[in-house]
Amino acid sequence: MIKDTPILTANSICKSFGGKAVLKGINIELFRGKFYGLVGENGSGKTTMLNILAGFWKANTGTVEINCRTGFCPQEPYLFSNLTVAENITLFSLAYGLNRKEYLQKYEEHRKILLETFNLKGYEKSICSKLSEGTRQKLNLVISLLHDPDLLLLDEPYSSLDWDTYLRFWDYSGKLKQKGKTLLIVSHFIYDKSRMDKIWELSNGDLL
Amino acid sequence: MGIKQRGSVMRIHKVTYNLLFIIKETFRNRITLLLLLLIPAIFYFIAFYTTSDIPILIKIASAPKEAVILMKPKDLGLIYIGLAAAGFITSFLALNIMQKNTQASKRQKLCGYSAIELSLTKLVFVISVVVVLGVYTGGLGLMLMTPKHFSGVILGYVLCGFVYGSFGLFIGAIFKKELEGILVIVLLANLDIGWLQNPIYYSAAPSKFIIRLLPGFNPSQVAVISSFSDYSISSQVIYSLIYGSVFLILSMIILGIRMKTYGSAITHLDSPDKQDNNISD
Repeated sequence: MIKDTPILTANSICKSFGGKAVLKGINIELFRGKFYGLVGENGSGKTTMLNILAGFWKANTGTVEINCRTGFCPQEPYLFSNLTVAENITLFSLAYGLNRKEYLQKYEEHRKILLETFNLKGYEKSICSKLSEGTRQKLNLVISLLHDPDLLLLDEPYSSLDWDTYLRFWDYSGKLKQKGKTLLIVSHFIYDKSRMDKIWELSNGDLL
Repeated sequence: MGIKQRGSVMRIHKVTYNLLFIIKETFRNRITLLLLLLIPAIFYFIAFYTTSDIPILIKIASAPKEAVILMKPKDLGLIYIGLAAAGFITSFLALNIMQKNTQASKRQKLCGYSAIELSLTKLVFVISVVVVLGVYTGGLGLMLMTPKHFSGVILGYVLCGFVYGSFGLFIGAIFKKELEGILVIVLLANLDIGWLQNPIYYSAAPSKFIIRLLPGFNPSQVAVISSFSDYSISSQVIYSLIYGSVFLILSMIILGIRMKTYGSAITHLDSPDKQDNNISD
C-alpha cells in the first residue's frame, strides 16, 4: 500500500528562460524504493527540472509535492569555499538539525561511514577551494546524504568522480535501495541502465 | 524546556555557529586581515605627513550659522581620512559577505536554515565589524590628534561604518558581480567622505543639498562636531541611524527574495513523523 503512494508528485511543470520554453508541462511521480534516471542532451532542461523539484528554483507554473525527507545534490558543488571539509559538514549538519542531542550519536556514526564510503577521510581539515573538482563533488554528495534522506535528487553526481568512488557510489546506492530509499539521477547518459527502474528522456521540453 | 524555548535555543545556536564560520571564512586569508589593519594606518600616515599645521577658520556644516571654528587642516584631514578608511572597509566587507557564497547560503536555507537566521547572521557580522573597525580606526586617529570629545569622535566612526556597511550590503544585494559593487563603493567613498564632506570643499560648494544627501554627511558631522566643538550631535546621530537602517532594511528584503526556496521538500530532521528515522548501513 505504501509503495503505491508517490513520495514525489510534480504536475504540469513549465519553465521558460527569456521566452524559450525549457519545460512544457512535465508530470512526474516517484515511488519509494525505486531508482529513476533523467537523461537528455546539453541544455535540454535536466538541471532546471531537478532544481525545480528540489525547490531551489521556481517553476512558472505547476506544482511539486514531496512527502518525505529529501536530499539534493546540485550539479555545481554549492559549498563554502574558504571553509574546510569538516566545517562545511558541521554547517550543513546544523541546518539539518543533526546537532540535537537525540540525533548526535546516531548521525556522528552515519557521517563517519559517509566519509569512508566516499574516500573523504583525511580531507577533513582541507580547505574546499584547494580541493580537486572530484573531491569537492564527493563532499557535495556527502552533504546531500548527511541527514539520511528518503528521496535523493542527484544532478550529475558522478561526473567528476574517480573510478573507485564511482563504484563505491553504486555500492552505497544499492544499500539505499534495500532500505527503501528513492533516487532520481540526472545525467547526460545513464551508464548503468540496469540499475534503474525507469529512465526518462527530456527532449524539447517534454518527457519521453 | 518547552518547545518554544527549545526552538529559540536552537535558533541562537544556529546563528552563532553560522556567524563563527563567516568570521572564519572572511579572515582565514591572513593577507586580508593584515590589509584591514594596515589600510587605516597607511591612510593616517599619508594624511599626517601631507597636511598643514597652520590653523585656518572653518565653518562646520551642522553647526549654527554664525559659528566659525579655528582648526588645523591636519586634524581635519586625519578625521576625514579615518572616516573614509572606516567607511570603505566596512562597506567592502559587507559587500563581500552579501555576494560571496550566495548559492551555498541558498543551499543552507534549503537544508533547514530560515531566511531570518541567515539574514541575522550577516547583520550581526556587519554590526560587529562596524563596532570593532570604528573603535580601531577612531582609536588609531586619536593617537595623532586630541579631540574635544573622544567618545563623540568614536561614535562618528562607528556611525560611518554603520551607514557604509549597510550601503555595502545593499550594493551587494543588487549587484551580482564583485567588480561593479567594488567600483560603486570605492567611487562613492572617495567622492563622499574623501572629498565632498570635508568642510574645506563643502563650505564653498554651490549645491550643498547634494552633499547633505550623501551617506557620509551625518556620520562625518558627528565626528567633526565632537572633535572641534561642543555643539549637540543628537540630530546627526539620529539621521545616521535612519540612513543606515533604510539601506539595511532594503538589503535584508532583497536578500530574503534571493534566498527564497520553493516547494514542499522536507530536509530538516524536526519535520513531523521523522523523529524516529532509522539509520543502518
